[in-house]
Amino acid sequence: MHIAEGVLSGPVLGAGAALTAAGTALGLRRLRPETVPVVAVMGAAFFVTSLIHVPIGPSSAHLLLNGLCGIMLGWAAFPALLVSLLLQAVLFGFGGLSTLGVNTFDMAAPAVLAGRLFSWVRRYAKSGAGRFAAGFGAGAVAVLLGCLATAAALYFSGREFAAAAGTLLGAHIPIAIVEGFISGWAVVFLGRVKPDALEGGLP
Amino acid sequence: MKGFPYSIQLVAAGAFLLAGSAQAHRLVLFATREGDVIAGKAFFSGGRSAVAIPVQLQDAGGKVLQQVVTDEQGKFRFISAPPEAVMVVAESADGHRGVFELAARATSSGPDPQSVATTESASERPVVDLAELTYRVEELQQRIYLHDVLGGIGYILGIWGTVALFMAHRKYGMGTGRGGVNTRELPSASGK
Repeated sequence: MHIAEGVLSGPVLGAGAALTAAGTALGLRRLRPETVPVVAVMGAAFFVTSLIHVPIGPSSAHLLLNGLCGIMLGWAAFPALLVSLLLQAVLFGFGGLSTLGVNTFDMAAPAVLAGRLFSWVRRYAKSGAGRFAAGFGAGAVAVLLGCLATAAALYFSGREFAAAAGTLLGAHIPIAIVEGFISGWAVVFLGRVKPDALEGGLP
Repeated sequence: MKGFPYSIQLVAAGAFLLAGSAQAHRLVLFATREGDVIAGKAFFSGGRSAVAIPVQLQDAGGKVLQQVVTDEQGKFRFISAPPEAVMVVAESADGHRGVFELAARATSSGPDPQSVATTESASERPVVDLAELTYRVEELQQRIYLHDVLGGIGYILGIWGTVALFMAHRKYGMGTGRGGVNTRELPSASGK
């Protein structure tokens, strides 16, 4: 899901960089000193899980945890994922520096949406099962939206949308299900031990 | 949603992670020139072959000269490749891309077929070994080492720790240019 250097067109790179800069500015402005450690932990978790790759079909996929980032961080998912993706690009050559904006946006925008979705669903679902479902939905939706955003970036750079979306979704539907379980489980667990950690997705 | 489902979910997730703890998926390729033939291999870092991915032979200006598709071992082969310097470019549908640059062929232009043939047969074994060796070196270079991962985590915690430090300075007014932390201005000490 990390788009490499030299694949995307100039306007797409520029738009991705601008959107990520805006999201990062918003995330940093809303950041409180108390939540910075949560940003650090989620950024580190995202950094590490992206290294655990599962071969699926002609590509390979990895867990993203962007849904959980959105639930816990809200807009701060932008700066959190930006730092982690920057380090992945520098240390491991995943993606690239020029595509950093696009790659961050493709992951962080679905994260923010998933966080909103979670806090909206949770208002109506008070039971443990309902909370699990809210977390599951947010985790899965964030992955699938990330695929579509990546495919859209490729499409606007003159690649074929159906091929990119097909390959990405094919590889990431199992990932979305696993992430749904992880997010659902994490949400139920956090709801018991630290309910205020789930407030990140609130507007 | 009570009791054992959590543990089952956790185990399922853990098993899924461990079962597939392959490494990263950067698309890497290398190629060697043997006479008119350019042959090579494309793989994802971690060693898995990149199967059925289009590979292009481009000249220095980026013009596509030839295109082939990798076989089930990730191997590709351009027959009658030009002697000039070329770039081998592979790109998957989902945005992975690998580039390998090949220098111009060492033999001068317009050689008599005999000398090319002898060069080839003389260097046949070393070339095969070199290809295998190049592949191994690439594979090792693409490997993700634990110290890189730990270093990355350290960077992340350090960067956010610095952010927290600056935000705390602003909020609590610590370290106002006089060097060091002024404990009298800590919230606990000042009774805020």
